[in-house]
Amino acid sequence: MIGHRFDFHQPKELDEAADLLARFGEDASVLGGGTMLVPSMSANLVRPAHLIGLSGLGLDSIELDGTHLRIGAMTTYAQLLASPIVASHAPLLAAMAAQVTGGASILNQGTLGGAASFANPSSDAPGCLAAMEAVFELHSSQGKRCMPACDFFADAFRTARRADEFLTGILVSRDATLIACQYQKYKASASSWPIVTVACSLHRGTQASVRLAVGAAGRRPAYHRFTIDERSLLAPDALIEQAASRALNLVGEGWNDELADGDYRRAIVPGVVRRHLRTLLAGAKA
Amino acid sequence: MHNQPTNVEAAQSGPHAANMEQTFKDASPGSLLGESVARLDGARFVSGRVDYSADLIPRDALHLAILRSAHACARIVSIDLSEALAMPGVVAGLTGEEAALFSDAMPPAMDLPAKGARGPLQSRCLALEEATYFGQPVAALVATSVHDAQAALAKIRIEYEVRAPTVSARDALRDGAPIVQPGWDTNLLVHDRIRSGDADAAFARAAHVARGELTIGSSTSAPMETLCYVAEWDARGERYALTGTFQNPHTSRWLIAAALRVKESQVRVIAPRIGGTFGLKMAGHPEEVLVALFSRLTKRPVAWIEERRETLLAGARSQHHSFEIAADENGRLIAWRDRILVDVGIIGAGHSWAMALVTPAVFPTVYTIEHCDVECSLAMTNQPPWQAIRGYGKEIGNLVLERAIDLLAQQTGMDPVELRRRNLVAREALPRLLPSGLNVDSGDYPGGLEQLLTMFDYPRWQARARAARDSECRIGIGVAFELTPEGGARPGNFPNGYETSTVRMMPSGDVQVLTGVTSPGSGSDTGIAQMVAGELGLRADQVSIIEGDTDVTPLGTGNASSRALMYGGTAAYLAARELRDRLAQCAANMLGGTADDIVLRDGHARRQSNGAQIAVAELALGAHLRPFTVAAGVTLPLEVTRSFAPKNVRVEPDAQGRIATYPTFSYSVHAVALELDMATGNSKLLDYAVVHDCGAMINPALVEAQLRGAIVMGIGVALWELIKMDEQNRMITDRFKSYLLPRANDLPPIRVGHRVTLNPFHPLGMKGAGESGLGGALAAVSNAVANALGNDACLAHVPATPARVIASLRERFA
Repeated sequence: MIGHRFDFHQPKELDEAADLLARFGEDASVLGGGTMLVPSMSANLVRPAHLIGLSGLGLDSIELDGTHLRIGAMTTYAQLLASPIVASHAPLLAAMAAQVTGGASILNQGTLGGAASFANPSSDAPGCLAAMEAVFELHSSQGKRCMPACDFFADAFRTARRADEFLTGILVSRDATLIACQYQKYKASASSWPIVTVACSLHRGTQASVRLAVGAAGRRPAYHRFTIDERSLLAPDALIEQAASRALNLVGEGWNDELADGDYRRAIVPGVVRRHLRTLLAGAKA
Repeated sequence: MHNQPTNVEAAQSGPHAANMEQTFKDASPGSLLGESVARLDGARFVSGRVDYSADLIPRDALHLAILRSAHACARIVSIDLSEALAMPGVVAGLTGEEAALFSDAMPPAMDLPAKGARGPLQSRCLALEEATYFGQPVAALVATSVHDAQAALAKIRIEYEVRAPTVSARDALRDGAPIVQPGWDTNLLVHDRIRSGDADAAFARAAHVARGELTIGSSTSAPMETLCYVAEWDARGERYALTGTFQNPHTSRWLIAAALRVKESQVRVIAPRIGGTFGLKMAGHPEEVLVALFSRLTKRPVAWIEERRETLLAGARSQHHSFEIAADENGRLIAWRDRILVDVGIIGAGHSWAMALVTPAVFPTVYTIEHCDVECSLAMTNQPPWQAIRGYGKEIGNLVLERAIDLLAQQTGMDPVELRRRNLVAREALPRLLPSGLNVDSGDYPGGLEQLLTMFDYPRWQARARAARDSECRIGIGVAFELTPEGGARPGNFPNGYETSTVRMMPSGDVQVLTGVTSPGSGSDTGIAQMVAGELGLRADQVSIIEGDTDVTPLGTGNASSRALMYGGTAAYLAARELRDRLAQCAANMLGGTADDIVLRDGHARRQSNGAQIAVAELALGAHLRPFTVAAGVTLPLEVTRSFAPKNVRVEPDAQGRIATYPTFSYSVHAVALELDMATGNSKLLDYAVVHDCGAMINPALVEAQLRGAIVMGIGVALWELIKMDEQNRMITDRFKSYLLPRANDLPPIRVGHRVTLNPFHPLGMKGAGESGLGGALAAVSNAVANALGNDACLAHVPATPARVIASLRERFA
């Protein structure tokens, strides 16, 4: 039961939201879908004096223009799953959303922007969005700024968002070079949070590349883009080994929480990276 | 009690009988025994029209919030409530010292063992001077809303002198270890040794010996409904009414009255429908006294609904086993040795540590092992008190022995099914005495195993496992038996091994049963209605069951050890038979002839010799309005109370000094196939089959529902469920995202086969069905994980979490 008193604000305009955040800063929490924040408040783990809900701002549209797919910060997993635009232009994101568990209440209430902003290491969105090289659109009374995923995910439960800012949308470049992609989360049972996630994709343009992000294993997503030549696709073992050890290095010390410690997470990273890159690249030989 | 059902179809014979599904049906006229009658109140439950305790909180109730110790071991230097009492909505507060002015410690619901250590219990509603475990209540507030009460908790100023806690049994029993429980002179609660034959000699001459270590982590029952209590003090009548999640209402009345310093008759305990309990809601929770105290102090109703993070503090099952098993050159098991070290935490009023003494009592379960030597030490530590949990210790004994048999099979290259088959006790060899003194009633273990093999395609799974051996995802197969003592009747425990029911027919012919047992949500009340209705020639839905009100029902246990139908139902059945005889006499008075010519069926009493009949309702009305004619020669009112106490309980010690506290022994045999991801350690269940035998089944659908629930709980304990503490011994698995219960999509279809081996000691042939299946599932799944690991790693921890599996693989290759 929520054991403190707080003020709830539901702005109708972006500027109004920005003004509230400028005023309350660290004393305020931004409420997206609330699937993490509200349980944390119920357990009295966080006690924000002000809650600023974004649901009145219409931030749940999915739009496609000539260069980008733009997903509003308040877009729910259910909306992602229902969107043909997401299915064709962001198949990795669609694959991630399809693995979200928790039933209707999480699918219909949880938002992509909320999950990204919360930056729980043991979650799906950070790793997936890192692999997509997504760009985060932040709003404040001083205007708008955009930030790439590699900068946005600063640490466990911490993004580069300033206290006076809020996330309005997530941008993904349109990419005609995407050949194949895979998303898989690993966890002990259905009710667990993700323990390690693997997101990877193969791109063949003027220069072939493999993008790999390992989520949940470290404090922030471990991401690298491997530029490769076409020949290495025919015998990818060396590339796969290189990627497995690179991923482990990027993971760093490993994330500890109630569900799993860093040693375990680190122990399984190379194996699952190998597994998914093998499958990803097996299809590319033809 | 000559109620042996006629024409019972249980005792099948013939060449293929062993493999066949068996059913139970009492063929006497009108009997409903053996029918899967739909739950009488099922529609009310699924449509949300049932009142649980929290639905009954009065509008004007105050709400309780509890400050719990942040430390596992600390002296309470000071508590200052003044700032908290000044917070909005707060009405009153209590520290441990203040509560001690108005209340005493709860007495034990169970005698401490005669030869064991003794000392004061940690059973005050608020800790006094010392906090002995993380989460122990140290101060409490009531406010006009839950929110206000919880908000004010943060304003309580408490100063602790923190000490290093003792958090493992091994540490607690070390020389010079600090005494964990104030007022005691040892941390060793009980030491027990159970022996049969000459184990040393048998091990010395054995052809094969397998040894192992197994550490079982702490797990909890996690019912959907958490604890909830509502107290009202009636100042004029000078009585307390407590409504809540009471699994043992009469026991709770006794303990609460003692703690509140009032007569037992001044406390009424009401237990509405319960949303699951699995042992958690047995007597002795400190919050029961707190709500009552505050209701008297504030002269207002006081309510408390437990938070999930509080429920998850209730641990159990934390045991360590060092075991060895011996076989001769023919694969005959000859000896079993087990050294058990148990961490039972702090000793509260509920006395759930007793579970640890049941673990060694099941050996050697369904196997013919002549020489046994089992030693068990129970240590008190600064962990929260154990809370009773489904399985009640039996599941761990079964787990360990089934692991040992698989280890022996692995070591000798014998097939684990064949090894079991060679060593099962024959049907004809029962009843038999276990080394612990328990007398196993009946069973057909070989038949159960053969029936299981018709349901589970063992050769096909073995072929698949071989094919997958070198892949990243191996297949493991696990088989396990479980022997489940039920109907616990331990001397020194209140209440004990008998139950009482009243069957009452009113002038309209309406029938009410008042019983001292309760349903934990299992639907046992439907079973009781069946047992009564059949005798009275009525349908089950014409009988209503009243349970869980100490002012109204006969004294009884409530819900524990699978007794609702086996004891409470049997008592109601016996009462209904007496009532039936009275109604038959009334019918004979009206229709002529004699009572033994009357049959009650389809709502009528029929005179068999001439077909004359009269409605049962008419008999009831007649007996009330014209007692001197209709009820001539009949004892009135039409209300009969009977108690039922089981045979096969023995309180006189045998030659080894042992008694028999469980009268019935259900069993089951399980087979499971799972996939083990060698890269991550994750297990995924693929196939599950079980054969179960609890003797006569009054309502097979209810039995099967209990069995499936027990199996799912066993799967959870085998793979995922684990209470974890941090370095300061604070619990960190405080929600269902960190304490992982199985979900439907974690589970394979579970195929169930039934056998019916009647219990010769029970008038209807019944045995307990409620816990049965948990230990078999736990063992079969653990065996399957170990089978997938093969010689590459050793399963030394339960649950086999992915982290444990990967660590064990690394150890082996290190």
